[in-house]
Amino acid sequence: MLTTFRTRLLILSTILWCQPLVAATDIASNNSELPSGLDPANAQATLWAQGLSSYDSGAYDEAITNFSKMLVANPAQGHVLYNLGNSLYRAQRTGEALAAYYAARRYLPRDPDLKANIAYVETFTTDKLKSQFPQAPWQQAFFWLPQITLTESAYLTAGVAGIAILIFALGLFLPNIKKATLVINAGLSAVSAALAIGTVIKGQNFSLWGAVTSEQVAIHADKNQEAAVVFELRKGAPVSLQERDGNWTMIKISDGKKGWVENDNVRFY
Amino acid sequence: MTGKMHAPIGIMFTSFARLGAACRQGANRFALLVLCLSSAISTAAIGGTLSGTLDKSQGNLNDEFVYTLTAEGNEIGDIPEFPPVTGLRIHQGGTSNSYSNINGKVSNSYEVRFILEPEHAGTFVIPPVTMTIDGKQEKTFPLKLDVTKDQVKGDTEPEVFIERILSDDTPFVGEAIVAKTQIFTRVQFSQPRASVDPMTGFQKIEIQGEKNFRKAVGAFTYNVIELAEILIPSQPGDFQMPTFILQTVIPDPNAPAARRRDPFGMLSGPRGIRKKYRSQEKFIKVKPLPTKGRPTDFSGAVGRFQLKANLSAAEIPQGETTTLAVELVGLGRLKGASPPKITLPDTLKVYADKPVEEERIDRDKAIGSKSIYKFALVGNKAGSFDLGKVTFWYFDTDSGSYKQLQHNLGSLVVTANPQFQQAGAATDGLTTNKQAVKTLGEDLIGLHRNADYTVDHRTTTADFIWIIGFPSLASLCALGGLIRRRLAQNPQQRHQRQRKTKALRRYTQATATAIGSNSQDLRQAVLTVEKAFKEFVGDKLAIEGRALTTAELTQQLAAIGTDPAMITTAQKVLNDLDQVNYGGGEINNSRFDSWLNSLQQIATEVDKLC
Repeated sequence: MLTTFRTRLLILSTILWCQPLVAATDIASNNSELPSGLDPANAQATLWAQGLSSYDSGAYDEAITNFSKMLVANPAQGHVLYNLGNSLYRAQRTGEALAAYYAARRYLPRDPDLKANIAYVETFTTDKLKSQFPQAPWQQAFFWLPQITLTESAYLTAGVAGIAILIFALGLFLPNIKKATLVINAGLSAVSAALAIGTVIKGQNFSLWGAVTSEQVAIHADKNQEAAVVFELRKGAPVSLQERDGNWTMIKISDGKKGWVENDNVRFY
Repeated sequence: MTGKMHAPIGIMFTSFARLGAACRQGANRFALLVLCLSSAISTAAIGGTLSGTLDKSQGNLNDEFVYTLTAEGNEIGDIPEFPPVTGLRIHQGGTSNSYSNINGKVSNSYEVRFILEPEHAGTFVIPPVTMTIDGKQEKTFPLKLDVTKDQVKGDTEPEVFIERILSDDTPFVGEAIVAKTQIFTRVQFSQPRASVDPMTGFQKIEIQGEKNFRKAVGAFTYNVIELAEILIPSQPGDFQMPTFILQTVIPDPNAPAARRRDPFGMLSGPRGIRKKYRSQEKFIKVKPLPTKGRPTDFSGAVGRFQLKANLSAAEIPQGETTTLAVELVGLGRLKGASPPKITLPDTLKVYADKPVEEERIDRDKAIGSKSIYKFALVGNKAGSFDLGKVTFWYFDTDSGSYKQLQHNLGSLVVTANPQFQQAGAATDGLTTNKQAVKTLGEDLIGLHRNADYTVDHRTTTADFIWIIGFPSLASLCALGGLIRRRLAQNPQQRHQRQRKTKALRRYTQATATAIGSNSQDLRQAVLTVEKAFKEFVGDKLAIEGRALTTAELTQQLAAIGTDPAMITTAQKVLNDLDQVNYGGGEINNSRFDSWLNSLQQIATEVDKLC
């Protein structure tokens, strides 16, 4: 009986741990489309130093150029995106600044400076929309999700599941501690299952957030200028990328409304 | 004034004339019959009348005129639409209907009132109104109505009038002016209803509340109700202020004194007369801001302003903060205007605070504004630094020209601080700056300077290896443990292990079968239970249970640490069962149930122990 139970537990743990991996794979495959191949380290260091120095001297456009060049080599650099956001804000490009901050948030979700700057710059926006979709009540039980990245979530799940399986293995080799191992194993399996489900939710709900860069823009029902205007947004309004088709982007805002907008009016990093 | 046509009267008079002639000629009874018949026809025909009346035939633009259409007859057709008259606004003012039956003669009277409001002065002709009464088309006479622009003669001091006052009727674009509407009244009015059309080309700010005062005009003292609003022109040009219209009910001067003292009609029934009052025409000429002499860094502010500035400390140690406060105050709007220009030396770190903007709406001075701009200045290098000056360009409405406000900020002395230099070497002087900004809490937090920018936050191959690798290794360990365990057991051991695992389930199934069969053969059921219990103990202890005697069984139970009281119970129950099975002992359902319960408890305990 015990063997049967343990075998089932092993299979269940393996399945649960594989799920977040699948979710992480999706995101990684998305990222793989982005430019890759790091510049030499010294080139990055030079750009970083020049960006900081330009910012300090008030040459914000120059700072923007330097930080943007760093992102061409690797777009997933949270700190570079953060500094780019600051430079864009100082250059009075509020919409793009927010887009850079939202991108930085994907990689630095717990950074207090980033949170403060997003809150600060959002005060200058007119539409006062949220930059995340509302969660279903049951999803709110996964309270830790906004605080961690998808990779971190996958690490946590794999780590806890691995420890649970290791303890289970230990119980097989040392039969005298089997009762204690069962209890610990059950607890860790439950935590691992919760983490795995959380990772899957995070993977499925992954959205690329950006912001409106024009002073005011009409959102159309279809991808042409003649299509009916569904609603209007103003500079800095957070929007989520849904689809791209030529010169048009389908966006969705936090209250669920969708529409098409010309690419020049929104920015995603 | 009445416009009325009574068509059947002629027929009636003709009948009476003929009757008189017939009598004079000594006509017979047939003539009398004709008289009665004619009389009856005439009486019936009298019911069909239509009349239209006006309550007054002349008045001024402030007056309302009531046109009453009265229809009388047996069968009254649909009420007609009032014929349109250019320059008169018409709406229905109510209807009344009366019905009478005198000696079998039925009569209806229908009255409709139309309210006529003149839109301009002049003479208006109200065309005839046509209506079907008792199957015939009846129509009223046309009526004439004279409307004058000003008060009618003899009414030089009106009971109510409205004035609109502008603080400036030739403002510049962006200049805030006060527009007041004063309602003068020397009578008590009721049911007031004010309306004013929207005004284009101006931003409007309502001033809440009204001001009440008394003012003498001519021979009368009026109560004045003053409403006010701020107007800010957004484009140049000539504009007419929309007419302010007040509709209200005032006491009827022709009504008895008791009724005039009761304008609300609480005591004396229907009250005064409805009147409409309009403000005089008022024009505003909005002047554009001159392009000549407009500075390139014009802030956009229009009004009259003053500039002040001060430093919280003129001397600070290196790395410390001083606050520069620049205050703009004056009459006019500062919201939306560019901030003052300040050029501070590069040797200082400058963090701008979020500006504090205050606005005060005043019914006499329009808008009073105050904006405070604060800057945290951090001295990174020792020395004395000239802070330059702060400037602000605005358009002065008094002189009609652009003016520059200027304030010299003096200099800031930064004294050397060795501690700051040590900290600066480690942190690039950011700790102080960042803290200063966080304290202000109203600006961006600075750059991430010492962060590891080389970190690739994507899910990399290394991440995959770790995420897959660790649980995979753990799973391999677990799998190894399972295989090892399986290999360590021979088939007999595995069989014994399986029997041990399923022992309690087998025992429970066996007792359930026995309980099901006890109604037919209770002794057989007892035998089944005893056998099942012994087999259960045997499976648990990996021995041949069926062959166990009671003594051996109790010994085995004691060996695994079973509670002595439970062993005693087991011994007693098994002896009883033996007696029933082999000695023909007494048996009934009650005893059977008791044995079953006892054995179940013992089995559960043994299952826990093994």
